[in-house]
Amino acid sequence: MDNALQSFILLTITIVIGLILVAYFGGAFGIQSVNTVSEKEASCLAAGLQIKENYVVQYGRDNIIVVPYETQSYNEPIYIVAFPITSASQLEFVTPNGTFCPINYSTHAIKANIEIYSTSNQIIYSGQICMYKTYFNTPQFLSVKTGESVMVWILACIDGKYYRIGYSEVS
Amino acid sequence: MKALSPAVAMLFVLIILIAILIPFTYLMFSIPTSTVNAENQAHNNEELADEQLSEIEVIYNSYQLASGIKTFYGLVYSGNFLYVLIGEQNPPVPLVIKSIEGLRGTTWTVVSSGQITITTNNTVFDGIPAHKIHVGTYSEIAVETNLGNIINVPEYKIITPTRVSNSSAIISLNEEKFNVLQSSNFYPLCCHTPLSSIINEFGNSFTLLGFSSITFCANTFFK
Repeated sequence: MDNALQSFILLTITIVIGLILVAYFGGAFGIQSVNTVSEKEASCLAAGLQIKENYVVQYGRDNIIVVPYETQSYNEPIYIVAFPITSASQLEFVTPNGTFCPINYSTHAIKANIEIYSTSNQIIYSGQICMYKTYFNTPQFLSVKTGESVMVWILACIDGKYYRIGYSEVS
Repeated sequence: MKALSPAVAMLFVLIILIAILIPFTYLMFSIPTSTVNAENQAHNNEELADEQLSEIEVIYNSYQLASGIKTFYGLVYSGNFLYVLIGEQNPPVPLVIKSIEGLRGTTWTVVSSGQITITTNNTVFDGIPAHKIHVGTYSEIAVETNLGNIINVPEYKIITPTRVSNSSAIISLNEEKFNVLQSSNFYPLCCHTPLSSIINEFGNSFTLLGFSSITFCANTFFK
């Protein structure tokens, strides 16, 4: 084999290896960047979110107004979930046990089997959930028995993944 | 050609490194920055919201209003209207109402969802310049401001001052402490019978029953 052919084969192999490497890392990085971008968006929303609440006690019920107040600009729909809880010290880890509270006195709930991620991309809940579609800075109404504790989760669907961007114990 | 091939290969390696490292580094370092910005913005907003809350006073009754408004704004819900009373402001501080909710029974409803900016008055409430907004009949309303504050405003009560003369007495009756006597005796009393003579005659335990009214004089003492 002469030198020119040897060099040509070497160059071809280098180009092929280079292309394979670019394709491999590019693909891997692409997946990573999709996760990173959605995580980044969820983290930003979580950082700018404040769950405002106010209630009036009447006829043995707490009539609660909850406003998911967001300082970041976000016009996509969000989802709100409310479920009763017993006294818990670490609210961050409290998850639904199958019972959900109606929001806005409505029966138009979205029931689905989904996985919910934390803003650090960890699955915090997997199973059936009853959620209500809404938008930021829109009042939501809850009515619970006086003395009952309710956990409210605010979810955002980013790139097909549901992130819990906020939670608060009300009542 | 043989001498150039390692250099060409190195060039490819360099391109790969640049193509991977630069966007990856950019993404990694941009995450905390945008999150920190959002946190700062939320923190600033919370401070502003707290400040706004301290500038708004809910007026519950005429007795409270008699002493005037001590803040920039006073909220009164009276006769189907929300009155935003405008207090002394220099410079003017605008108040933006994002929505108004009304409570009827145990159900909240959105009464008004249009943004209302309060800058000047369009009416006067009890001598104070006010901005009048129609809301309707509810047991209570809640006002949501642009900074996310939700303020409950119950119905305004007018307290009529009661004139109390020196010789009058206030008697409190506890209905749980009434006993029904099985064999009670009724004795008619003459008009203007002094209480002391009744006590002398019947002792300390007796019931006064009046078909018109029973009047106690200032010099009457109970033991």
